[in-house]
Amino acid sequence: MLAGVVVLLVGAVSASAVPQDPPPLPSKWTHLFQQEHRDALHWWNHTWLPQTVPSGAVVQIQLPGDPIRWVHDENRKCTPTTPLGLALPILDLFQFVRPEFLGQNKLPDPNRIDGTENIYTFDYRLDGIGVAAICLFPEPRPGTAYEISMPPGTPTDRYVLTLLVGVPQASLPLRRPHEDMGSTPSHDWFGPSRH
Amino acid sequence: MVLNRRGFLGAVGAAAAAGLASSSSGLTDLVLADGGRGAAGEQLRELPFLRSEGGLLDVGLTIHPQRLQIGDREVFVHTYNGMLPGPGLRFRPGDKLRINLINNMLPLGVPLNAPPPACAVRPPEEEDAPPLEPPPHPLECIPEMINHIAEGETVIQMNMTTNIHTHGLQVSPNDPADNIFLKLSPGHSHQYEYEIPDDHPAGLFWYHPHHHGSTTHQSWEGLTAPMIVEGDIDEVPELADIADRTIVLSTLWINQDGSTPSAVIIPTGGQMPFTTVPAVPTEMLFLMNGQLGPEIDIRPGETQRWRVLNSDPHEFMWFEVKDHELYQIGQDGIPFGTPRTVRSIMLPPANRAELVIRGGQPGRYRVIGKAYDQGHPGGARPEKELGTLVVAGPPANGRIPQRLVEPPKMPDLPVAAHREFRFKGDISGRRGLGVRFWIDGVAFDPDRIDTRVRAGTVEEWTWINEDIFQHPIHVHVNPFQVIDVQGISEGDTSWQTDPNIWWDTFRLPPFGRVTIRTYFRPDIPGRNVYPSKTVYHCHILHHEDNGMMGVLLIDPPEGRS
Ligand SMILES: [Cu+2]
Repeated sequence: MLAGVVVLLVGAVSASAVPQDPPPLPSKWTHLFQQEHRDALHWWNHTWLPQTVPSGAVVQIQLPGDPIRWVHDENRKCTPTTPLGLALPILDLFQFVRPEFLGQNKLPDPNRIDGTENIYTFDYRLDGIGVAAICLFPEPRPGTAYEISMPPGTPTDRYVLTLLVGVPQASLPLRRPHEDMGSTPSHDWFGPSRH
Repeated sequence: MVLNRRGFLGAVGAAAAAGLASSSSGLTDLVLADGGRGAAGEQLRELPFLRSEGGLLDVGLTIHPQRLQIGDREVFVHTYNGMLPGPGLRFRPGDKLRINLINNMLPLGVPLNAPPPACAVRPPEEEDAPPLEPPPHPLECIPEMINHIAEGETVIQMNMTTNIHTHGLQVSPNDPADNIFLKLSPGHSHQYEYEIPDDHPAGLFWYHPHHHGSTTHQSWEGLTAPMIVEGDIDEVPELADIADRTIVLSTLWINQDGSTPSAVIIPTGGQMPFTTVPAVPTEMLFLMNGQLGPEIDIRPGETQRWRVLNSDPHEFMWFEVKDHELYQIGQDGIPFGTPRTVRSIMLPPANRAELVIRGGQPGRYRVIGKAYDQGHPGGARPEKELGTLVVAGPPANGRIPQRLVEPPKMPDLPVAAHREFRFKGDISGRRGLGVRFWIDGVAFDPDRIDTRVRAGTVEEWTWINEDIFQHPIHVHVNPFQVIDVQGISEGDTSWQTDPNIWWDTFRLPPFGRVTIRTYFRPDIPGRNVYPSKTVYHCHILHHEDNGMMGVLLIDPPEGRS
C-alpha cells in the first residue's frame, strides 16, 4: 500500500515535467465529490490515500445538510490529511495548492438521507502542482457524525478533502488498442466460471 | 428515410441462415455503414434484426471493446458484435432461440487517480447489522482482499464478468436458458438455448447483461439490444403495413477517454446523477438507437408503429413527442385489447411501450424525456432532449386501429398465497463505502431461497416501499397485473394503473405500496424447467447490484416432480 503512495507521489512530481496543462475544463467534466469522499473515513481501515486531479480541475463537493449548515470559510485553517494514518506528515514535502472558490448552491434532498433535507454544493478550481486541501465546516457543530451523514468516529468539526493536484487525468487502457479487439484474453484471474 | 424493412430483414436473415452463429462481422459492417458516425441531426437509424428461419434463430454474440463515433464524441466501450445497441433478434412463438455468448471484455475505464479501495468496508448485507466495529489493523484485510481477487469479486473484475438475461420472455430460467446465476468470465463462452412457448405474446422484449454487481456498469456501456416476438398483433390491418420502428433509449456514461468508469459508484445530485471513488470527470449521453438527437421522419397524417424501450439503468424516461398524441397498443411486450390514447408515456428502466403515432402539421417537434422526480438525490431529474420528429412530405391518411387482439387472461384460480416484500436502501455512506439496498432487510444472496412458489398457481404480492426512491420492481420470466397502487404523489400524472395491463416491471410510489397478481405458468417448454430458480429485483440497476434482488424458486406443478 505504501508503494501506491510512492507511485502517486512520484506521479505528482513527474507531472511537473508535463509541458502544458490542458485548457480549462467545461463544467460537465467536473470532478464530483460527496460525503463518502471525505479523507480517511473510518471504513477505509487506515488504507485511505488522497486521489489525484489534473491542474485546472473544477471540483464540486456535495454534502447533505440542513438542519446542519455547511460553510466555506477561507479564514479557518485547513491542512491536508496524512495518508495511511502515518505519523509522518509526508504531504508537507509538497508545495500547497490554494483552491479557488467559485461559488456554492443548494439542491433539494428531502427523505433521501436520514436527518438531512438538502444537498449543499461548493465549486472550486485547482491550478498548479502540489497538495490541496478543501475544508467545509458544519454549523452548528453536530454532536455526532451521524448528523452530517458520516460514519462514527469521523471528526465533526469539518469535512476535509485532500487532493494531489497536477497529475493528468488518465484511465486504463493507457494506450488505446486498435479496433480489432477480438482476441481472447489469456489471463484467467476472474474466479471460477459458474454454470 | 425509413429503410425498406422487409428487404433489410431478408438480407440479415439470410446471413443468419448462412451461419452467422460464430461470426458477426457482416452485421457489424451493416451497422457501421448505416450512419454509425455523423453529427446530431442524422436520421434515426433503422436497427438491424436477425430473424428466425424454419423455427430457429441461431446467433453468436461477442462482447468486445469497440470504438464508436457518437455525434462528435469518440467512445470506446464494450458492445455486442461491435454494435450499439446490439443486434436485434426477431422470432415467433414456438421458435427455438440459440445464443452463443463470447466474453472478450478487457479492463476499460479503470481510473488511475488512486488505487482501488481494496480494503474499504462495504455497507452491511443486513439492514439491522450492528454498528461499525473499530477498524481492524489494515493488514487484517489482506486475506479477504486475496479472496476477493481469487473469486473475481473486485469491482474491475466484476465489471468484466457477464451473462445474458432475456428480459420479459416467458422461458425457462434454468440453464441453458434464462439463467442469470451464470458467471461468464473474460475468455469464456456459453451456449444458451431458449424454447419460446407457442402462445407467447407478441411484442418488444430485450436482452442485456445480468451478472450481479456489474449490470449497471455494462448497461452504461450500451450493452443492450431489442428482441421482437412476432404474432397476432402484427396482422391488425391498421398495423400490418405501416413503418415499424424499434426505438432503444440507452445511456452512455463515459469518462474523458470515452469509456465507462470502472469504479465504485455513488449517487450525486444535479446534472450528473453519479460519481465514482475515486472521482473522475464524466458525461452522460442519452441516445436513441445509439444516436445523439436523431431526426425521425413522418408524413402529415401518416401512422407509424413505434416500439420504445428504456434500457437506461437508472433514469426514468417520461417519453413525449411535442404536440402529438400517442396511441399505446402494448406494454412490456404484451398487447392491449384496444389502444389507449395518452400525451406521454412513463418508461422507468426496463419498461417498453408500443404505440402508434400519427404525423401532425408539417414542422419539427421535440422528442423528450420530461423532467421528473424519481426520488434521486437533488430532486427532479432534468428534461432530456432525445430527438426530433420531422413532419414533412405529401399528406397521408393513416388510421388508428380501434381493436387490437385478445390480451392474455389471468387464470380464474383462487389466490394460493399473499406475500409482502419490503424495499429499502441506504445511500448515506455511514456504514461503509458505496450504497446498500435490501429486500426484507437482506441483500441478495444467490444461494438463499427467498420466495418459494408452485407452478400453476396464482399469487398476490404486496411490495412496500420504505424509500422515496421509486424502485421499479422486475419479476423474471413471469409477467403480472397490478391490482392496487397506493401512495402516488398528488398531481403526478405519469402513472398508468389500469389493472388489465400486464407488466414485467412496475415502479413503487415513494413510501407507497403496490399489489400485483401473478401466475406461475406450469407449461414452460424446454429442458431442465423445474424447479425453476430465478429472481425479482429493482431495475434501477445500481440498487440491484448493491443488494436489491431476491431469489424465487418455482416448484413443479402439483402432481409433477
Ligand atoms: Cu431501486
